[in-house]
Amino acid sequence: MKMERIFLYIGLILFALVLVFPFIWLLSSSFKESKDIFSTTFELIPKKEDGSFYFTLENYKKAFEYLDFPMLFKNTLIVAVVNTALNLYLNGLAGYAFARMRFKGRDVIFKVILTAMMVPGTVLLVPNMIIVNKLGFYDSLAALILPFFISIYNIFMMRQHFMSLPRELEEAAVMDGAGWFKIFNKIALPLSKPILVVLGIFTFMWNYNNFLWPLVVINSSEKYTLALGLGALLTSGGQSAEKYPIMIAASVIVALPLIVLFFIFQKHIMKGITAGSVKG
Amino acid sequence: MSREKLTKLKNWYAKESTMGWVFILPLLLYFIVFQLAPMLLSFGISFTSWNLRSPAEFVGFENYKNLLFDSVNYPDFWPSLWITLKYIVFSLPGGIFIALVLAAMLNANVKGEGFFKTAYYIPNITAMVAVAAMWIFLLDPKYGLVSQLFDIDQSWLGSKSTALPTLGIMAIWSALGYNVLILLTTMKGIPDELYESATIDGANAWQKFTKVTLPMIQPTIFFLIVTGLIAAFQVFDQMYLMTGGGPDGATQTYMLSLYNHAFRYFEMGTASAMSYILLIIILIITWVNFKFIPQRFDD
Repeated sequence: MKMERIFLYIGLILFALVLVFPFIWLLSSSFKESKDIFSTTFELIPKKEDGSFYFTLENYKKAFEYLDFPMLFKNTLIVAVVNTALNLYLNGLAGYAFARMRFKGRDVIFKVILTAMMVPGTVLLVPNMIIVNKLGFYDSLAALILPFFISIYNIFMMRQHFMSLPRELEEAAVMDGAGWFKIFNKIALPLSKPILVVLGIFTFMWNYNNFLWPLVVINSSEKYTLALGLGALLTSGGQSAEKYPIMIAASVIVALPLIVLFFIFQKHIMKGITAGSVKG
Repeated sequence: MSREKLTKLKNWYAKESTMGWVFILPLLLYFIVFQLAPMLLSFGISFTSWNLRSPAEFVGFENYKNLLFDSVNYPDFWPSLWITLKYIVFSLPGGIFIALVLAAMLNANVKGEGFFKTAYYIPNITAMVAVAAMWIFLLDPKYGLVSQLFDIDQSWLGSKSTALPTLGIMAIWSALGYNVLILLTTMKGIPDELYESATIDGANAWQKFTKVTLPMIQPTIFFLIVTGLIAAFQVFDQMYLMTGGGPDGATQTYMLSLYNHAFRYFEMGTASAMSYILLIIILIITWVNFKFIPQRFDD
């Protein structure tokens, strides 16, 4: 029995190491001088020949010279924040309508959009690129926002949530003469904070990490997002060893914000993942 | 409820047929422009010879026929599908199996469960671009941690035999936390009584796992298989970033091939036909899932 428990913990810790150690190694290497990055001796903390520890920001300096990080962050944040805000409000509206309001065609529309949810985004890659082009948004941040300002999956989640809310509060507000929008804004939405936080984080992260679509519709480097900037570094010979120091520091800069965000909202995120797996 | 209140409520609900449409208006606009229109558009384009160089001409099923049967002029279609299938074999069963083992371990009243869950989940929230950069570094033939660990000079991504399995392992690594979390949550939802009665029947830990846990989490396993399949058929980022489909086409997945047709050779007709073939594949997977998933684990 005791032996089994020990093996259990060893196994769990081993896997935790396999999954997390690459991040620690990346972080550690990002503070190393080039010659220590290209070394076959294993040092977790950068060490000089005389055995003393050091750390250098040289790689980060080079990464900032190579990539315009302030601009990349700005573009990424604009896209991710605008998309998250639009998603939360508009998906909320639609979810509320599908959960609470009776109008002709509601159930048909809901079924149609649920069916359409099965069509994966990559299938729409080529035609959406053409549409964004025709609308005149090619190579603009709007091209990164428009095709994603609504998420049918999120609408589904919001609908489920609104259906679980008691109607009494809304009916009390009707007595006070509130209209539908007022009730949605003042009562339904404030009662949805937990699910809004969860969906908001996931929408934000998804937009932050999105790669294929920006790759297709963004051309000029002033419009690059973080993912696109780092991607360009990788495909433009980042794999050649000389660029390792830049690549390592740059990927820390790209990965770190979401990891921090993850730790802040960990509880919500964990809850959200498992809620999302309950198949509809 | 007073009469006045009732009329108020009635008036309010009377307006809902209009307001309902107002509330879903953004959705409808979005749906028409970015879901319905592209679906129809690419369906139409898939029957034309449009390639951005010459005017589009209606060619009937030519694009589909070429992709499926003309292996001389369209040599990458079947190999890319085959490579995607191989990638699925490398990444999906192993990933779910390891996740199953880890979830079962975490389900055994482990101290620090939260810590392990968090640790396992970190790769999953990291952008694939950053993961790719990290793994390029880890997999460096000479200085990479992996080569040092196994003490061999191996060009993991540069050799034809190891590139795809390596990307498969990376995919396992990246998705593991998600799979563990989903499986663990389902396992925790299994009623204790089931285990208690199994204990009374004299079942040992292994028997409890195979006779109680596995049957109860089977729908979740199928859920992971189906979503994993759908995701794997669309895999693109890592191949584009790390191998560019090489070496010698060994990691040229379906989506990468589609991307090349559309945005490298500008063959929009061919690319649209490929999109529809992918859609059909995914719809078949979804349909099989709805139709044929057994409700119970029979052994």
